[in-house]
Amino acid sequence: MSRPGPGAPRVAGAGRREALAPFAPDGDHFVGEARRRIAEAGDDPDAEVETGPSADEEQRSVAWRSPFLRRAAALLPLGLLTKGALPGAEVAVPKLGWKGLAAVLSLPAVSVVMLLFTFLSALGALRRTVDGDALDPREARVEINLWWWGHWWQALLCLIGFAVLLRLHPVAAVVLVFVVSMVTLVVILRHLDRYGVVSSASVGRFAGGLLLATAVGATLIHEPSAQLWSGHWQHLGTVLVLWSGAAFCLLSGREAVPWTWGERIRVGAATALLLLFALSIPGLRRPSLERCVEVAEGFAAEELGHRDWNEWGRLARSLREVVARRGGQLDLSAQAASFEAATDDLCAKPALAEAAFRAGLLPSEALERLGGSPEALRLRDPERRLSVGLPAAALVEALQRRELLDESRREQLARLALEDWPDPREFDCLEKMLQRVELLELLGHAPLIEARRSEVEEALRELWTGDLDESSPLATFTSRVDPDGPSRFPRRHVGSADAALQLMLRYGAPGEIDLARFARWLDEHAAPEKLLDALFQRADLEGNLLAADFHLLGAWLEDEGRPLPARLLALRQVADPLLLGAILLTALCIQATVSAARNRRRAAAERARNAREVEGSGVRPGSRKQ
Amino acid sequence: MRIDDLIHSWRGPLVGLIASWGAPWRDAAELALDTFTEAWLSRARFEGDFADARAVGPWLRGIAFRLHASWYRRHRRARVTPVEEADEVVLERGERDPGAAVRTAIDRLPGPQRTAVLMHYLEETSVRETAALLCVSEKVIEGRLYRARRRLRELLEVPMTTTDLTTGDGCARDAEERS
Repeated sequence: MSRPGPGAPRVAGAGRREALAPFAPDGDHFVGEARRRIAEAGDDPDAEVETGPSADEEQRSVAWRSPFLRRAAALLPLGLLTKGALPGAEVAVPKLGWKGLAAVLSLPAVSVVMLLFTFLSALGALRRTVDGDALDPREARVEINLWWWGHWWQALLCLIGFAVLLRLHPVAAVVLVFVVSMVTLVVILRHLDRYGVVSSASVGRFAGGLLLATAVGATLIHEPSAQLWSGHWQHLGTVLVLWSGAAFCLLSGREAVPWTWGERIRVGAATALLLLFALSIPGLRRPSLERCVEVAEGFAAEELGHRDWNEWGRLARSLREVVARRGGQLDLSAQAASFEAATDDLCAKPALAEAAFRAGLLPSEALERLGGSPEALRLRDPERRLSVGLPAAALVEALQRRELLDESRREQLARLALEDWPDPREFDCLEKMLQRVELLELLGHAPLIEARRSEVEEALRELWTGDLDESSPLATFTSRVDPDGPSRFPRRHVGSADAALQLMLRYGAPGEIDLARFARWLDEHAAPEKLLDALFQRADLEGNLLAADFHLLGAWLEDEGRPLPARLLALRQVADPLLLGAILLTALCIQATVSAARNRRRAAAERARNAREVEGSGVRPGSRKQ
Repeated sequence: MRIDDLIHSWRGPLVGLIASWGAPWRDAAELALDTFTEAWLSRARFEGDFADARAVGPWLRGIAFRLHASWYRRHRRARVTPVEEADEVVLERGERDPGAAVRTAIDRLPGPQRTAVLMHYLEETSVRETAALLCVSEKVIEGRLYRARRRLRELLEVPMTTTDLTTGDGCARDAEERS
């Protein structure tokens, strides 16, 4: 740009007008051309339209005499609902009486719906409304901006309030507030529809948006509030109910103008994304028993020596037990062959030998060689002092097989296991306890195992009773760590859950532990963290181990004659408060939409009757004054 | 209200608005013409009061936006900004163009201010129609125009007079100039 010198023109109004003057259309020509085009279209360019309040507006004015609606109008985004200026729509609330309470109650739901509208508006999916009027996405954004400009602090207050409530755990209270708020909003919407202030399509669109927002919200709060749900099937039912209701409300008014293919694709893509999001809830992605077996049997033999063998060993142990309880057999011949061919590795890598031992695949040749290893010699020598750590189970098994451990040495080893008994509050106490119990089993000290029952049960109670969520309900969005623990590691993890189950299988579950909740924990954490992993069924050993433990727990309880309550939850599923709330809200929204459509049909019939009367009287319809 | 009155009130801001969306001025005028024609032919569907700018503005804007979108689909390729295009035309004719610097400066204004200037100064219309078309309050438009004038002065390195900035009511001053 060339910068003007000191003699540059002063930018007065006239200067600006002169600068733009070349672009101004010629006034007479413009009007003449418009009149010509109107005449060509068969209309009268000399017609005159009446100004002043119309009958519709008068009716709306009647509507605004209702204090209830006036107060609600001060908070509702009427610009989006009515797509036009309404007399009295900008009525302020001078003082909130009891009738204003409803408007205030509706604000949380309105805030959530406006967030959703902002999202949808950004997608540009609602370029046209279902009743055929042009809804400019920019206009929608302007309306949304205007609403936020007027109510940002109330909305912000609501959202912060909910965040604080969520942080303090009473998720049920938040849900209750939301349900009350949404029901209030639907009631207000029905009032507006009754007075003819909003169109049926607007009611449908708004109700659909409300249900969609609830569905997304229900998905968001699902994982961090496990105590709220009886199981993931309730969540699936809730989301499906909300989703079906939203689809009905959104589609109920679309017959007027069919959507373009572009709009269908955009709305379809958005819906598919939201559905994927909803289906990403962990419980629905838990691997089946067949999948776990497939993963265990198909674990690549060429990956021998990989650290995943540790997880695989535990997975194979759990699966062996659950398959045996179900009367089947696990085919691990490929892995057995790998172990046979890698005896050197087994002797050199204790972790690998441990995995093979857990899976019951430790080859006899490897056992022989392990029994003659320097570590085994040190272990069996009564003159040597046992000091550091517990011996590996594979090593003890090798010595036992060759009968190289005498009675006194076994006593020493058992004492070592008992002396170094972990504290119940220790980070990985259950895994250490299991290790010691397994050692005592190998050494054949059943009475000593029984003697530790109280400590094991205390540790199980310590970890697996109470609220099984690691931290706050917001843990999903931040991290799953124990804020009060000595370290940043979560106390409940794959290892501790697996060890807990193995200990319960030996000692039985303490009465205080709710096995249904324990099963749900296993169930929820068995899902892969990443949705894509679940979709493409990528092998996730930790997830499969938890899933196998879930099935093992079920099989164990079935054998004991007390199957998991999750399998007999038909009554509890229906009685779930959130599911009931969702059904109530959906029913209300559908009823509001259907009654609005009925009102619209009645109004259309009345308009048609009026038009026929007007035609009969010779007055041209469309112009209020000719 | 007659079609002539409707055009007289809304032509300037509507042409300016369409031009601010990226249409060349000639096409903007043509689209505005189509908008008025279509609005008049479908006036039966308009449920508001023709005297109420807050009702007419969004209605006209909706029609204009739809027509502009359809025009844009026909003209896929990116267009040069209207002000630059006009400068080129004027320079090709070899005439002295006193407004070129101002137009270039207008083109350098931030989007909302530029839109307000194009809509308001094209035909000396009132702030009311501009505000109604943009779905904002008149105060917002006055603010945008005030900031636009100040920025224009900075861009053109013109010493500011005391009354320009202290009164703050540029629209009132413009009204005086017009009178």
